[in-house]
Amino acid sequence: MRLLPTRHLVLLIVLSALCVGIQLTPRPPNVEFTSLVVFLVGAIFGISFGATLGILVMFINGFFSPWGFAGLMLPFQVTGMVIVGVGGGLYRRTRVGLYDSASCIEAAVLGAFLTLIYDIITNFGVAVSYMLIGMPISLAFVNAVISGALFSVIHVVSNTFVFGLTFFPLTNVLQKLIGGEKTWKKEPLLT
Amino acid sequence: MEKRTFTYVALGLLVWAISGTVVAGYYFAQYKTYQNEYENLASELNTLSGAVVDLSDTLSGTMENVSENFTGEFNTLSGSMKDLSEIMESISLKVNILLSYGNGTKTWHNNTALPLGSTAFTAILAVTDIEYKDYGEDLGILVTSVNGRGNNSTHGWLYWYWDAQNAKWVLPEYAASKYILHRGDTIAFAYESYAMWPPPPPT
Repeated sequence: MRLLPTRHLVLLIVLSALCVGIQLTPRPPNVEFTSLVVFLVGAIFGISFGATLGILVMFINGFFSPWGFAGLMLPFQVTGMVIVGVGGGLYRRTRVGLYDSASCIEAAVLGAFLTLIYDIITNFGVAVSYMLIGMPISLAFVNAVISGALFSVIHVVSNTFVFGLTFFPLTNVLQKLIGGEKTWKKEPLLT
Repeated sequence: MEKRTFTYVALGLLVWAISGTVVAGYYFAQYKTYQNEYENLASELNTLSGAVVDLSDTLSGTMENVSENFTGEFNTLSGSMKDLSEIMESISLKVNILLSYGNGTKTWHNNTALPLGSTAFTAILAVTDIEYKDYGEDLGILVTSVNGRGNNSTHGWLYWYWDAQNAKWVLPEYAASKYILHRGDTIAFAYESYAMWPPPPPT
């Protein structure tokens, strides 16, 4: 088992607390920063930390969200956020070089893609609830996707901007905080 | 194109395609929903329109019946009123009454309606404020004051009737309560001096 340096551990705990705090704060529906923080933790600390934070945040959110108890949606939300954390970890492995405007676009596209995946999974959760009351699976899924379309679009568009505009500046600050290294060195990051 | 760039362009396009499809599906569903609502509303409007037309017809028919009934009732009532008027006319009469106060003041009460059998006394009683004295069955009633102008030792109230055939005023020699009125009679009550007898007729 790899041991984290104290500074890294503290940063991880602070980010996790921040993530949970932001997630439980009342806000417009589907405008959120949880995905960004989970992706960021995955990108800096690795897949396992990203995925764990995703599970933790969505589990707590499932019970204490201002929108009420998640119920059947809880496992789907957890799965979606785990994928976001894993995505951050995978991105960490592929990214080389200093960040520039193209990197921001990359982050924006990744944010949009992972948000879309998250929404498809959670919509599937809604479809399952429809199936439980007797609706055929294909109809239930189409129904869930279509009825949630506007919320998905809000979610995807807002996360596109959030990821594109804030991921690399935040990464840069955090990298300096934990090691003083330049963000995105030529070789994959090591923590 | 670099493979990495291609990957992100492809990812972006995938996001766009899926989002676009979902939004198109959403708008199609909304379109169908609103179309159904529109059709339902149009159908309800047609039904309502038919109901309004039926109601209008029914109301029109009812109004026509009411109008006919009302006209019938009104005609009946009008006939009854006419009959009543004729009856009233048959049991009443109209006379002209002159009050002459002896000081140039004269008041006419033309077409005064009175019951059949009225006398000159009941005629003046009906049109003004008087005082009188009843001298019994044989002599009758004497008017002693009209509107506060009372009889005294030199002047008193006398009554006259107009003789249309001879075109002159006649001074009856009996009390006003004894003079039975006829339709179209003209009578006069005049405040006159006893100094000259017979006194001059009212003019």
